[in-house]
Amino acid sequence: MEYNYQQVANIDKSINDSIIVRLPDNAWIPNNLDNTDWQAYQKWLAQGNTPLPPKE
Amino acid sequence: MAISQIVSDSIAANTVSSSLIANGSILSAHVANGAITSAHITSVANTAITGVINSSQIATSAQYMGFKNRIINGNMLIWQRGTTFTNVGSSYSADRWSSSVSSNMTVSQSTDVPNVQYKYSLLVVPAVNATPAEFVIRQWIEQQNIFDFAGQTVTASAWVKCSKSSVTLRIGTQNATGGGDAVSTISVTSGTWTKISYTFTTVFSAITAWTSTPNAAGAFFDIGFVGSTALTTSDYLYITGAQVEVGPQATSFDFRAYGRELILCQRYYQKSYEPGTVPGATVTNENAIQQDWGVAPSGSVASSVFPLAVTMRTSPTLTIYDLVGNSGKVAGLDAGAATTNNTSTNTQNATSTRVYVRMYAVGFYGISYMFTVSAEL
Repeated sequence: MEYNYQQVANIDKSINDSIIVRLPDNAWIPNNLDNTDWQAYQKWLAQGNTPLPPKE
Repeated sequence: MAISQIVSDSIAANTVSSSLIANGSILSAHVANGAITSAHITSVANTAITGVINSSQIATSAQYMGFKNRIINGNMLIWQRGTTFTNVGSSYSADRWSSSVSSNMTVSQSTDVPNVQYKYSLLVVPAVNATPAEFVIRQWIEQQNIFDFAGQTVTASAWVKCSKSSVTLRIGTQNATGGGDAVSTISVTSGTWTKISYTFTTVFSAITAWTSTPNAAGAFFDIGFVGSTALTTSDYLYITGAQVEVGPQATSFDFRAYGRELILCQRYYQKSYEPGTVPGATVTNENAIQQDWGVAPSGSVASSVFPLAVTMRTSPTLTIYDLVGNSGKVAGLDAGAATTNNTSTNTQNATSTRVYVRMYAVGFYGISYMFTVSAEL
C-alpha cells in the first residue's frame, strides 16, 4: 500500500512534532525511533517526500 | 577366581540377568564414568530414580523447559486483525506473522491441520502467477527474548503442507555483532503434512554482542520459498506448529495456555474489539469505549485516557475508529442517546501503557470510540 502522511497542529496552530498521521488509514504514529512505522516515515522523508500540512 | 580376573570379554552376552545380581551389590564406584550410555538403557521406571535431578544433570546445549519456543503464536491460534488478508505485501496477518515477498500473497486462517493437536494453520496462496525472489511468511523476534541464543546452536521446526516438493526455512540475526543468516531448503511430499526441521549451527553461535536496544528485533524466522520459485495462484502453503528453540534437535511443540499466548501477542498488537471482531467493524455504543463528560465543554479541552491491557514493546501506532469503522474518527455523544460518527479529534496518541484522545472546544457530552495499537517489530 502506498502511504502519504499529514502533520498535526497544536492548539496554537504550531506543528506537533511528536506525531504524524499516516494516510489513508489515519493511523497516528508517535515520534519514536523504536516504532517501525515511524522508521518507515523517516525513510519516506529521506526519499524526498513532504507530508501534507495540518487540516484547518 | 578373583572377581578382578573376570573381564567383560569372559561373559557371554545376555548371560548375566538381573536375578543373578544381588540388590545393591553394584555400586557406582564399580562403573567407569561414561561406561553406561543411553544405548545400554532400555527404560528407567519412575521408581528407579531417587533424589532430585538438578540443572547440572541436564545438558546445557538444549533448553527443554520454560519459554522453549521463541516463536509467538506458532500454532496460529490468534488472529486479532481478522482471518483473511488479500494482496498482502509485508503487512501482518495472523498475530506476529508478517511476510517478505516480492509478489503479493493471500493469507487466511485454515482448519486444514496435521493432527487433532492443532486447531488452525496459516494458508498462503500467491495473489498472481509469478516467480518471486522470495515468498515467505516471517516472524520478527524481539532481541531480549533471544539473548540466550548468542553462542548457541538453534533449531527451527514447523508442520507444512504445500503444493511444491520443497519448503525453505531461513533464520537471520538483526542488531547483532557476528551474527548472520542461513537457509535450508527441505524436501517434502506435495499435498501431505510434513514436520520439517533444521538445525542452524552457525547463525547465532557467532554472535559476540547484541547491538541496538533490547526491544529491537534480534532475529527473523522465515518459512516459504526462497530463490525464484515459479508460483501460480493454484499453489499453496499451509503452516502451523512453528518453533525456534535452543539446541541441536527439534523437540515437541511448546503448547502454551491460550491466555498466555494472547498476552504475548498483545505486547505487539492489541485492540479494543472483542477477540472475534475485525477492527473497523460496526459496534454498539455499549460495546465501545465511552467517555462521558456530563457537560458539553465548549470552549474548553476534554480528553479520554484508556489503559492498555498489556504494556507494549514501545509507543505504538494508534488507529482510532468511530462506531461504524471510520478510521481516525470518534463518535460524539449528545445529551440524549444520539451519536455523531465521523467526528474529528485534535490529538490521538498512545504510549506503551495507554491510549489518549483529546478534543478542543468540544460540543459533545462525551465520545465513544474503538482502537487498535501496533508496536510490531
